[in-house]
Amino acid sequence: MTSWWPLIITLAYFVIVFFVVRKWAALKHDSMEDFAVAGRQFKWYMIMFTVLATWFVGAIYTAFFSYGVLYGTLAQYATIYTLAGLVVYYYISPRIWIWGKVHNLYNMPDYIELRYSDKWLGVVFALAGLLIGAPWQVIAFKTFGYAFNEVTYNTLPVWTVGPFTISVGILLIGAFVLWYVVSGGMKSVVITDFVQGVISVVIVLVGVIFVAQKLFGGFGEIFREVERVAPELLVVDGSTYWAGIILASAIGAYCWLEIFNRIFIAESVRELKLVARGAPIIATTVSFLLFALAMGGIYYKGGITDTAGAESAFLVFFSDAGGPMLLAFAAIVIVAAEMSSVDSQLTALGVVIGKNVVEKIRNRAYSAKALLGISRWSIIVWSVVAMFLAMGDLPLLITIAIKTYELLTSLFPAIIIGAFWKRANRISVWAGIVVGFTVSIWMSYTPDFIAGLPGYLGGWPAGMYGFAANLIVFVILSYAFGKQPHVDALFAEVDTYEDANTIRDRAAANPATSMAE
Amino acid sequence: MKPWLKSMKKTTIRRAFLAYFVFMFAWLVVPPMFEVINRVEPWVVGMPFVVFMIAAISFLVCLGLVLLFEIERMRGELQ
Repeated sequence: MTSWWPLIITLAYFVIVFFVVRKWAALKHDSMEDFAVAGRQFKWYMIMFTVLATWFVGAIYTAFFSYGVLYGTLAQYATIYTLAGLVVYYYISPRIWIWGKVHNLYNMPDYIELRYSDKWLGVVFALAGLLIGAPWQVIAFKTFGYAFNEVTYNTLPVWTVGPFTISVGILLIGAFVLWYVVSGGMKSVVITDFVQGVISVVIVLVGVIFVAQKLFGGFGEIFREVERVAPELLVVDGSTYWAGIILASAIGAYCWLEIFNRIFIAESVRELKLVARGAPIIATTVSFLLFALAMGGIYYKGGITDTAGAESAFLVFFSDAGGPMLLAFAAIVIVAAEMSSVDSQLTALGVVIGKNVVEKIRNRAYSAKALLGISRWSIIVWSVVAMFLAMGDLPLLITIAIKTYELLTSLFPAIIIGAFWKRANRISVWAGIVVGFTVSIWMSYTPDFIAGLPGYLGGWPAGMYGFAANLIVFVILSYAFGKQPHVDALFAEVDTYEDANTIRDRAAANPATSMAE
Repeated sequence: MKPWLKSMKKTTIRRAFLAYFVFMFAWLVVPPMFEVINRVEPWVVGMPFVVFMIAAISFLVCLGLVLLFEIERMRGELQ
């Protein structure tokens, strides 16, 4: 092995996370509320770094970074959709949190069932969320193997059993994640994500600036050199495609089970909103600088022009700039990003399978203990399956993942618009998602048709056409059938809760007014 | 706090800021508007124009969120 440092530092990192979980995360839960939403008790800084850690998946440093290397400015779409997602968060999170608090909601399907008073709609959203997330969990386990191989310079023994290549990295990190997710639930997830979020942000910010300076002479030099070598990368090729991937990603952001779940872990609306003071600027800065650095890849050491090379460019840059030590930190960032995404996904998956699928389909109320058992076993079984799938050769995995992602946009009207618009009703949602899914799938298999559409109608991702079709049907049927009978009372709960809980702040902000009252 | 700001409806403030955010993002996601800024020249603070605009708009959106939060805080609207 070239150097033991990357492996030692990576293992040390896992030891730190292990002790953090042991010390601060309660590893035994008897209540579903603790397991699913960690007792709704977290402050803004915990939520902020947890949201950031969940948001920045490992692929940011591999696949997304490769966009920066190969397509230049196009990669900055991730910066914009991240910010757009946080703006959406500021607007939707208070009322979703209030409904969660009042009705003891744990996840998005709970909210859908409450909002539209339709059990089966909740089940459909639960199944859709599970299906859309599944390929990404397999990719996450694959990334663990990839990162572990990098820090051991591909010297780990490999066994081939049938179609599977046994990866020590996948097994070790997978088992570690499984341990704290199954035993600690959401509390251990939030605490590990907080630690990993802080470490990742610090390493990436300091590391990216250091690497840009050391290897390229600064960000200004990168842009100047790219102008000389590949000036077309300084602008975006295809404004509709660019707009489409930003919109599809931003629209889909809160349709992920694990991202939506983050809203429910906060102690109060105040804590949720405090996130908006720090998260946008940190997320934007990290993302912007990261993809600006990636642009240097197009001329680095003669130029990286193949996808495999571009995907490992982040690790190569860090290794070349800081040797084995910085390589280890870069690998930690990738592993931490993936761990903090997959742990949230698995916890949400377990809760949703237990509470929103099994309990609803079997039409019986389980005890908290039974529900916890179902949730935990669902997580274990699916994780083992996902680990084995990750060790197989799955050339279609990314294609499946992208195609399922296209479906996310069709969930948006029901989740987000329905939170503000009383007229949105169960019929408009059912019809909208059927039409939206159909159009998304059909358009994803007809790229020539999309390319042939005139003017600005052509060139959008398939999911955006599905979203547009869904939205038209959704709006027409919402007007046609009108609001459901329970909706006025549901929306009134938000105003009542806000009025009941802002009196103290109003008194503090306007003492004269409150005294006069 | 200015009296006019104190007397404004909560929803009016939120909608005004929403309009501001939509206008800012429109420069990046509405194709005819984005094509206006999608160019290399002029270079601004060492960045091609489109890259600078992405950074500038992102900064202004962040600033807007902080401002909205502060206004809501001053009006006593946070639980």
